[in-house]
Amino acid sequence: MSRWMDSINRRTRHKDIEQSVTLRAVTFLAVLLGIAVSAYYNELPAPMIIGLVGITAGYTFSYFRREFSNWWLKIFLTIAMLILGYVFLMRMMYSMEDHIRVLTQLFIYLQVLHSFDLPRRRDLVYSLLSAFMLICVGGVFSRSLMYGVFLMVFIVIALAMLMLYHLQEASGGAQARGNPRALWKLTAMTVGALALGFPVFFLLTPRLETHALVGLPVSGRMRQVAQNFNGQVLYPDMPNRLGPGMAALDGNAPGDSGRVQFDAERFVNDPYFGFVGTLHLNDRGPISDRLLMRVRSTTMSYFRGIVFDRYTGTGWEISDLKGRRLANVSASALIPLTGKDLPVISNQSAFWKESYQTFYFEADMPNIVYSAFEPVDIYFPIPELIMDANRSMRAPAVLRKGSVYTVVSHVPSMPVRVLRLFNAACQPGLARYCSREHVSPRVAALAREITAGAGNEFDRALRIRNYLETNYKYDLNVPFYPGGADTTDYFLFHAKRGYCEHFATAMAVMGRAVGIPTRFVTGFAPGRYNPLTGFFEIRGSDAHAWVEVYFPLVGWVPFDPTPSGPPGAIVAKEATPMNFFLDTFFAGFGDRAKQWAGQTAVSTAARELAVAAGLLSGVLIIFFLGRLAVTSRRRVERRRAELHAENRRVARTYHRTVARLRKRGINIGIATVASEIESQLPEEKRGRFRKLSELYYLAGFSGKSLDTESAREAKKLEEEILSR
Amino acid sequence: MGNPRRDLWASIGRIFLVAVWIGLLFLIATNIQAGWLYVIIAFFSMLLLVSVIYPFVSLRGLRVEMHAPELVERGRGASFRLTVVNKSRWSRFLVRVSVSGEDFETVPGAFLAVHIPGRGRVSFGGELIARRRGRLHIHHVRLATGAPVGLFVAGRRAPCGVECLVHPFIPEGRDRSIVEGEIAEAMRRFDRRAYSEDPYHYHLREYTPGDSLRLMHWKQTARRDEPVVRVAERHPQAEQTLLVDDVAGHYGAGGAGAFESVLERTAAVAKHLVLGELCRVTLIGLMTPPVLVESMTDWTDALRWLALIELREATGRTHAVRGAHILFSIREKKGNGEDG
Repeated sequence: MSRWMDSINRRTRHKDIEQSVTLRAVTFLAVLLGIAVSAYYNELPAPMIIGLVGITAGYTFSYFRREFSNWWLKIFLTIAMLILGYVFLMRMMYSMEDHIRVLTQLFIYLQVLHSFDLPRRRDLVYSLLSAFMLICVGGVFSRSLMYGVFLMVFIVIALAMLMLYHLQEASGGAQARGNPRALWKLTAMTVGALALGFPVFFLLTPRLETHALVGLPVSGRMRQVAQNFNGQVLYPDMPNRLGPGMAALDGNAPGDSGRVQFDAERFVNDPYFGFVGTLHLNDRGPISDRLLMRVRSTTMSYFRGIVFDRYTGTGWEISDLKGRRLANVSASALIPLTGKDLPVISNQSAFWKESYQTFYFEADMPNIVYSAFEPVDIYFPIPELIMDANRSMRAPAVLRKGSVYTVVSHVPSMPVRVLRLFNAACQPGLARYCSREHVSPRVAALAREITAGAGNEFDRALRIRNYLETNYKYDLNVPFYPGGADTTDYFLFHAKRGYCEHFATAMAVMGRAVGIPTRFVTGFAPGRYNPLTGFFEIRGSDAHAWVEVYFPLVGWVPFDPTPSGPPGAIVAKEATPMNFFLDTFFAGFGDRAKQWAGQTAVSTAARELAVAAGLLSGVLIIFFLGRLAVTSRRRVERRRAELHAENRRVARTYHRTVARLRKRGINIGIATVASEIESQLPEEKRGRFRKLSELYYLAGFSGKSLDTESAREAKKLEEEILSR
Repeated sequence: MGNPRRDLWASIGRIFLVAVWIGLLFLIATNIQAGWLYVIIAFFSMLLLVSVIYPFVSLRGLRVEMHAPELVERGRGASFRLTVVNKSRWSRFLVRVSVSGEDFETVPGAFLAVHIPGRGRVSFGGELIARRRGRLHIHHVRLATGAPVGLFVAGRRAPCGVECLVHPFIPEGRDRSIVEGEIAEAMRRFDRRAYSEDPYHYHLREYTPGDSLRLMHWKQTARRDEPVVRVAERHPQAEQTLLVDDVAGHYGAGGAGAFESVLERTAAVAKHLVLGELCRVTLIGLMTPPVLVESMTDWTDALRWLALIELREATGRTHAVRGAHILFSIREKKGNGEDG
């Protein structure tokens, strides 16, 4: 029996055992970090603890048993892996848990099992690869910059491991020569090159549109929904208050003075008075800078919340608050936002671009479902929601922190020349968007005056927008308007200052006055784009109001009349780090470059690549010019160094003479030649200076080596020239 | 790093693995638009690109100089020196140099230049062991390097142009005693008279008891204040010819080994005769012209002759051996290994 066991041991024992403790320790750290990061971002506390303890035990065991064949362990590990695989399949089929979480757990447990059998260097490399996978899993779920720290630590460990591995491979069985300390220089150079090259690679990595191969991100089903929900806005602190009481939630009804402070602060942490069923333009509210949500979006869009269509003179109302109830299909999270009863959306695919936005809520928010215009599909954690006639959506429950949903929208992306083809068309179905109720005569007159001569709807809208931007001041602390006063009239002719709601209202009302169908929208501006995480970070201060203008065939196109808003129509812009980079550092140039590239390139990706190639070429040209300058400088220095010592002495003598003559008042400029200097000297010294200059030319430019006698002669000539 | 073919496939495998992984990540990142994945993709794409480009760039501007002795004994180490010269202004790191071939090996098997400064050089010393007698050409050495993090190892052959002559292994110990035994009988007749002493060429050594007083060098003895004797150079008067049968047909198929054995013994005998100053030796093959070895200074000629002699087909024009006093024909019989 013993002989039989020995035979198995001998046959199954590995020959190339890894003896380096450093290599094992570095790999161990990488794997430890991979498990910690993936479990942390997947919120898997139990696998994290099991993983960390198991990995530590496994690495210790495999180090001390590295010289043994451990054939019995291999059998045990194989059985354990098969069991794990079976459990994984069962959970994938029957569990409601997110599949990626299940997969992450499988990865972690496999890693633990594998760590018990790491005799060879190759096994350590496999471990590192597995750790890399776990880090990537963490990256999928991470929404914060903290992941960057983990990633950096992992990269440092992984690079250290790879370097050690390479060093050992290279030095195996070889006689080594050279200063090992130089390897620090190599390390520094490598880190420097990677650090410098990374931004370029990051910008040049193409960002393709999503394929939505499997379902889009959505959080687990929310079970607590409000009963008798009829499309009202619900606030987190009073989610079940419905019906007529909503008025109180919508902000105070204006009193006699009309100077009221919006007190929804009692109900909401981040009170923005625009997220109500009835908006009063004299309301105010503090706006915090708290992070409300993170949005992963393929386009840089405005995220609309509530759309108002009825202007009351002092505010806005929604004419179709109840909307239409939409439900999911076949128990999935998908709720299609299209149908024959729904408002008509643009079906001209040439005019829009598909945009995927996933909203991750970082705070409790009202039940408003934000989306870029124009939403067509939504993956939502509640099986039904309300969509009104303006295609704004509300859920039957408030959206708590941690809620996730994804919207697929058709974002306008048509060129301006297309918009210019259309003229205002207040069709019968659009009557409420063209209503001139509460439009004062002088507002209408001003609108007509501004738009006089504009040949199409787009130009009229643009003129109004530009007029407001140019002549009115943005002021968040504007005093309350008098009670009962027409807000638009007061803003345009008296206050002449206001905030985004005033600008948007003025544009909407003036547009209606000249026959342009408009509506008023509240929601969020895109917020700050983080190129590393790929998220738009939306804070309370990003709450905003803007206008949507209707164009026949095209549909509703957003305009932002608030100063510093985007000029013209808000059309889709890809959310890529390259755009971010260009907008941040080359705001004007970037747009021009994109415009130029857009004329020659057919697709977005090609345009991105064209701009990237242009930038890269610029960098390369700068690099080569710099290199040329350095080379030329070196060549000059070398030539100087090669110049014979006596030649240098003669040249120095000449330069010294010229400098002293200049001090004595001789007119010597930077381009004055020797003959000009000579002509300014007294007659008796001219011949000597000519001789000195000839010696200088010989020394500097003839390529001949002068002798000591020439240097002495130059010195003598200098003395004679400078003598009084 | 060391085996070019294995290095290449391992490198391609590693690069392929990382590239596939990056591709998968890209697919996932595209599907879910995960920003951090793009960071990882960008970083590892760059690493991949650097790993492939760096080794090729790093190998440029490197030159190799190799110095090895002209004559090398088969199977016995001969010192050589290898220098890697960096002609570039930029430093080079972790360049592995391997010198290998079918006919020889080196100890150690490879050399690692950890750092070669710009316009600098790094030298290595090693032992060269030839496996086969004859001309040994080392046309090139192999340089290999990878990016600091490995992944991809690139190699190139750097010319070094070394040529050595590998002479037969000269047996020592048991083999040599056999050889000496074989010739002892024949050598018995030679005595001191076989040598002529050159009165004009001598060297000095300390007096040892038993030296003839006639050998005393009185002038030097007086000058040094110690007895010094004159030792005249001796020139062997006797001449022996060693005839090597180098006709391929006499050995039959697979007789190359026997021929090598013959040469080894011939070399041993010749060395014994020449270095022992017993007689002058003429080495001659049936198909190979002779070489005369009169003294130690001619010994290298004998080694060259022994390195270059080859089995040939008999053409009917053998080189005659004339004026030989003693003829040794050393030849191993086919199959049984006995000397004839």
